[in-house]
Amino acid sequence: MRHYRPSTADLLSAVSDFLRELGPRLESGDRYQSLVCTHILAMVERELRGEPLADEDEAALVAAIRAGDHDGDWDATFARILNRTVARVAIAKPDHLAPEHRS
Amino acid sequence: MPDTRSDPAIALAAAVRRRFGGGTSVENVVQATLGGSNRTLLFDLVEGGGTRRRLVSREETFTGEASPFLSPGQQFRLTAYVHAAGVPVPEPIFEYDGQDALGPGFVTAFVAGETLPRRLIERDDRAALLVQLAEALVRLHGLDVPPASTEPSSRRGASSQPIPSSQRRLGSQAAEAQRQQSDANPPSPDADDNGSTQHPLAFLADIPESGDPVAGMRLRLDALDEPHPALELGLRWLETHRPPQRPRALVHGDFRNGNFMVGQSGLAALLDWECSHLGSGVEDLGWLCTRSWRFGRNADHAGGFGTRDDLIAAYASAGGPRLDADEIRWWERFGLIRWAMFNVLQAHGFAHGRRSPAYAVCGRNTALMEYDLLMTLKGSYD
Repeated sequence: MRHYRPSTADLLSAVSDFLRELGPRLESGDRYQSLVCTHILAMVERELRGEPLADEDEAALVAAIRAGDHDGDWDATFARILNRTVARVAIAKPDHLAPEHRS
Repeated sequence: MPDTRSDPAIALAAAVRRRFGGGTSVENVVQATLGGSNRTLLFDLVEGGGTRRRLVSREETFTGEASPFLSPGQQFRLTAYVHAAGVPVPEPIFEYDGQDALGPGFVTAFVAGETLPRRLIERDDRAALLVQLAEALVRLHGLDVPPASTEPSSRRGASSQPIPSSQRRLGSQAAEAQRQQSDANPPSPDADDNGSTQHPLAFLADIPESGDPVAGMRLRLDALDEPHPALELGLRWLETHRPPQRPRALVHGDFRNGNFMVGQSGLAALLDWECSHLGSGVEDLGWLCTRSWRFGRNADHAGGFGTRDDLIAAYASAGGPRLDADEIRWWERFGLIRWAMFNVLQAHGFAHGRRSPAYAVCGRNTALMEYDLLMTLKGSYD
């Protein structure tokens, strides 16, 4: 079933635009909170527009790393975790990525 | 703000009169807008003769589950100990007790100055500041510390342990329980039940941070119910690349740009002792150099004040050992994991009722520290 326009991401960006205009008119504490809220909405918008993070049993991975089971394939495990981390940062704060990881 | 308008001001005046006599008054009360899990009040203590002193009241207003922080009473005892030894800290004045309508918390002298990290690293005297920071660390790390704990658990360490699940989410009730506990266990005596003398910092010996750092960090992370493979990868690397053992020292535990009060003549006070523990003093140098605390000046590893080598030279000149840069780097990697853990902790608090947009963001921001950690392990970042 399909909802009418606008898309979820566009709905969010409408709220973001409003908050961005409102922010400067607020007193300092609320202005800070409104900046944080704008940041959160932008993050959610990126998440909605991007590819979902693939399912992975990260609890099992943690246990295996702790047990030393990945010492033998360290580089491959490292690369896999770095890829996933890059995907997370690309949603949370893309500016934080080094140029080599920016899309 | 008029000093009679709010309840905290009235309670503060009563707490002051209990200790300094009925002739004293409290004026110019200002609540600092720092938020977080503390309430900070600045005020003038005016004694009968007209002597006026600016003081600071700090109270814990949120007692979170799985809190890794020292209780206010423990912080008070700790800062009194280091103050007496000449480490620059705001002079501790008194601690609140069960008869005050405030707390848990304590009052210290007010120290004027600047703490904003970006302003500090723009100062012309930042190299001199780094020297003063190194001198303060050498003094701190040279202090006498209690012996390693021989018992698995002691009452004195109990209030810094994770709060049992049965007490979770009780908020003010938990705070009250903690206050009653500190009443039952007054701060002054240094003798245990057998009458033998105990080191005034004996309570530090039992907290997880005073044990093996890798094991302690896994304990904290496991309590937060969210798997983080990147952090575990970092811990595995740390575990397999350990630096040489160091003598146990008193570690500040949050020695970073942002916790330094700097006045006109330089470093005036080291703030925020709630993460203190026993361990390798190099941890403090590594935390100062951790990438998250360089405030954009990534080549000035030491908090934006100077390079890692500048810090090593200053620490040695002040009488400390000449450290290997790789030992500091080990603790920087630990620092990235630790800073990530604190962000997971905030997100955990958010999930358990501490609703604030800022805490919500912390959870997602954990990926930023994980990224810095992996880039550092890979050799792309230093």
